[in-house]
Amino acid sequence: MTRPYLLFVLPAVALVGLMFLLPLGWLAALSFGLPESFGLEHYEAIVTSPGIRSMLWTTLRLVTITTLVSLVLGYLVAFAMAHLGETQRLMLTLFVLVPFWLSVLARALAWLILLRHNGLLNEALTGAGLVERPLQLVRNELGVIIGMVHFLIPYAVFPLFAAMTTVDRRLVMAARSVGARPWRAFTDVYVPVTLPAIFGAGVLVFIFGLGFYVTPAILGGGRVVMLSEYISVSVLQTLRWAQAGALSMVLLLSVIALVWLVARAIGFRRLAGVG
Amino acid sequence: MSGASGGALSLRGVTKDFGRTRAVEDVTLEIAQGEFVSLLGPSGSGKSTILMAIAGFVAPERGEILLDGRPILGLPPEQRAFGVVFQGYALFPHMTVAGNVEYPLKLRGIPRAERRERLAKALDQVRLGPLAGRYPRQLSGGQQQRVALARALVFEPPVILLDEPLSALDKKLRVDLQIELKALHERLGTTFVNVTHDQEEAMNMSDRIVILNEGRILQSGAPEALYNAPASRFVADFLGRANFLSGELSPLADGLARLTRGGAAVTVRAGAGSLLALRPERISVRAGGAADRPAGDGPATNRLAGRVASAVFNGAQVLYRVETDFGEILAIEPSFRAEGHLARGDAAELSWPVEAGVLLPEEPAP
Ligand SMILES: Nc1ncnc2c1ncn2[C@@H]1O[C@H](COP(=O)(O)OP(=O)(O)OP(=O)(O)O)[C@@H](O)[C@H]1O
Ligand SMILES: [Mg+2]
Repeated sequence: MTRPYLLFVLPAVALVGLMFLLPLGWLAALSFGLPESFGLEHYEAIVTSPGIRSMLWTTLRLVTITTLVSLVLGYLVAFAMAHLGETQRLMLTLFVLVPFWLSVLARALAWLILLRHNGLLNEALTGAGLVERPLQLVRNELGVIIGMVHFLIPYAVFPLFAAMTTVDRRLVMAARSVGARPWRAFTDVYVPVTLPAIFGAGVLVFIFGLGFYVTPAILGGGRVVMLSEYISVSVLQTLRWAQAGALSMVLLLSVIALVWLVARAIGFRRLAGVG
Repeated sequence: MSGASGGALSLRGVTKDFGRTRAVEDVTLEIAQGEFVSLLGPSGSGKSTILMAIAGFVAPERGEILLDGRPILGLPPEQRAFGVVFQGYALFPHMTVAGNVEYPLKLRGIPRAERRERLAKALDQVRLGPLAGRYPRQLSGGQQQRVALARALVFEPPVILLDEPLSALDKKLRVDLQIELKALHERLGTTFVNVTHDQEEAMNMSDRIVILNEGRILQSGAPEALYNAPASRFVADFLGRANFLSGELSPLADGLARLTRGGAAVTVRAGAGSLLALRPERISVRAGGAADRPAGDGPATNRLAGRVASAVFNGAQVLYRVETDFGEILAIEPSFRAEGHLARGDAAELSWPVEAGVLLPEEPAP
């Protein structure tokens, strides 16, 4: 019965094999110094080289901050979407979705125009006399965080929103009926009930954040180098392919580990949003 | 735990609209301290809305709600602090049984030692002690129901509000829990307001039943009074089963009247209308055409000839549908008394005491 259908799957399998798994295997081979030699020195370098270590630290720090900020803002937006009226929900969905449809490059450049030294925001602030000198908003970590948060908020909002729409309203009512003020009911009941979704959304945002390339490259102005940019520079400019391969493998394995962790904690179907 | 500290509720002219639908219309109701009142009505009749208005989650457009004479409509739910058992129980999924039941005490800042004591007592009252460490998802429906009840009574509220507390359970368990709930009510002496669409449940537990339809109170009273003296066709039909016979009404002497239809006539006690409501279990069925009428039944007994349309044996009872000049009539005989069951097509004679029937105003069938 199923045999004829296997044939239909073949092209897809071939495509994935040729275009994805093969290069991946090749990359893994490169990272061990193959074909010339075999060794772990490129993995050692990740731990020992001060340059790489500081780059990894920057990456982790920025992604963590970005994740936390995206979660807090995303939680607020999702809460408003889930519990305000129909019109407000539509407006908010639109606000969240429209930037989602724009290319990441266009968005990073838009933020650059808005936030740079003589950009719209600084002009307005200095013009209004609120600040004396323009604020340094881009070409630093702040700029990268702003750009990344903006990009990643939808990834936090939608899983949170989906979870919030399934929260039984009566839970909060039950808390209030036994004596909890609204804020207490929110922190004691609503937040814990949505905690798995917070966790899932957090990991999702974190994983996307780890692989960010365009946004840090543009809004960091070359001063804030994160993992992807480092790999890209290694491949295209300094030609240290093996080192790039090792870093890529570490990135890949961390992401797999994270997904596995969450899948264990909250179930894979919920993580993928299908259950 | 005693309800001596008040718990009398008054609803005066409470009205609530949701957009264009009027969910509750001009409901006025006095509930005495310690009373067990059930709001009974079909789906959408406004029962939950009334309960949520008392609890503080629904703000009525008009009307007044008082607790022991003090208006409470201005208070948020947490300040009214009635114990509420929600439809579906609404247990906190991230807390254990103990955590759920202890939560109201924590909110009140009660010290740990006293909390432990009151928790144990509340769990005892609903026989949940051994399950204190479980999470709600690890409990059966009946156990969840008891947790919800313990959480609602642990802080000794003056009033406990229950929204269809048993509707999710299977029938046998439901009857057991009705008895338990009633016993608990008697022990606590707290006012209970219970919402249900199950007439049997309402009759089993309540001191008083309030019958609602389309947001309005139709009739309220003790279960027996309501059952025996319904004021309308809706109430007679909703509470138990009833036959409705209509025909030409002509007065007789002694407060009696005669209801005629086709060639048949029955005697009724004069009443508010011309529709005769008759409980099926008050009607006896025997083989028709036989001349051996037992002596001694005089004019106080009605007799009506007919033909059996169906006979169903359901264990304790036999349900007969008998075709008569007044239309099809349902009669229920205890099966041990149904002498040699009649079968479909047999001639039958129905009889019932005159006082078993109640005349009601004619109104369109629901
Ligand atoms: N939040 C709401 N928004 C709009 N309409 C509502 C709302 N709550 C209730 N209604 C409407 O008010 C009417 C009464 O509803 P209510 O929930 O009180 O009925 P009920 O007697 O509890 O019914 P059930 O037995 O189905 O629970 C219904 O017509 C219902 O559709
Ligand atoms: Mg209801």
